[in-house]
Amino acid sequence: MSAVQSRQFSQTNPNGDLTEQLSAFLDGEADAPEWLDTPHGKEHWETYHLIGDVLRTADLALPVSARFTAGLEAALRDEPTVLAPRPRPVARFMRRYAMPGVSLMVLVVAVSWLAQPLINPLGPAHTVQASAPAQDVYAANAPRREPEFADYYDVHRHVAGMSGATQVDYAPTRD
Amino acid sequence: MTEREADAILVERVQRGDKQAFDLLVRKYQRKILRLLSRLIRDPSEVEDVAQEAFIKAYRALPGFRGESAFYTWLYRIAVNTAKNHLAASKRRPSGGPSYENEDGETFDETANLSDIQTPEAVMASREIASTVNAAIEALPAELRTAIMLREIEGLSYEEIAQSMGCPIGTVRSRIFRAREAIAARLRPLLDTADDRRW
Repeated sequence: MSAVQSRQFSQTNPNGDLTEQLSAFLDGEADAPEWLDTPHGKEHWETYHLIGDVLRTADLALPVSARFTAGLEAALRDEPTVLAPRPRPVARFMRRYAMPGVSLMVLVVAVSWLAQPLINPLGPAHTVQASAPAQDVYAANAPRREPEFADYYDVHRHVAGMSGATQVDYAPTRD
Repeated sequence: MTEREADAILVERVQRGDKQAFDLLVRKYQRKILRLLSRLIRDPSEVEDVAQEAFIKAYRALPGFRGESAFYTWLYRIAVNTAKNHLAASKRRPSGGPSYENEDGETFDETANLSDIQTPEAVMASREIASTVNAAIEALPAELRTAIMLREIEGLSYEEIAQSMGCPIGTVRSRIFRAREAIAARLRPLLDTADDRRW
């Protein structure tokens, strides 16, 4: 752009920076300038769109009558302001976290239920209760040590040596 | 940010109760809607009334717009339905063929000549606007003309234009703006449109 053209330009547009932002917003390359809602901003907005429309197709080189513009503005003024309902935070939380969580839990329970015969073919009676402490389980299953057999146990341990079975056998009990 | 996203920003503003934002959408799309309706409704005096009705319907329905389609696509359907209702109410048939279902409104049935259904004054004004824009484009310095053509005709982003022209994005932004202002300066005297130059 020549110096003369630049000078002519700056004379026609004293709000150059703001108008440049509007031009970039129109192209989706900047945020909307504050003054876009002013009559001056709207005039620029409309004219820039007209230029783009005409460059793309001469069919859109259409004059819009003052009657149409004024009539639509008046009709809009008479319209009650519309408001889109905002999603409530609780509903948003439910939709995002709670419902998927519940769904996942239901899925896990269902899969466990269906797969139970494969995991434990002997049935639920043979299932060790996970909630019981290990010591209690050992104690419940271990044979009771009768005092009169104590010597026999000692001899047996001496002959057989330490093994997994004997360790289990001698696990401490509550009594 | 694409043009669709820019529209979405304005739509969200309207949905929060900002009527001014809807006015901006009207000013952006009013020519496309008027042209669309002029293909469907022969009487020029009715085109603006139906367009106004379509925009008001769109405003009322905007709280329900969820952005699944582009705003203009949604607006286009409202305009077509409004025109159909208008024609049904007035017991007339649409002037165009089935091709008016085209959503972008750009490739309309070419057998329907727009100039046939405009007033002579409007035809004159249209030609004047088109010739002024073309003359202004021709008068632009080459770098400004290239920048605005790549943007408006080719639809390139600023980044793509910067790569194409070998200059920073800030320069592209400035060139496009200056081109628009230079053309707008020539157009403004023509845009103070009197009522007798309407559709």
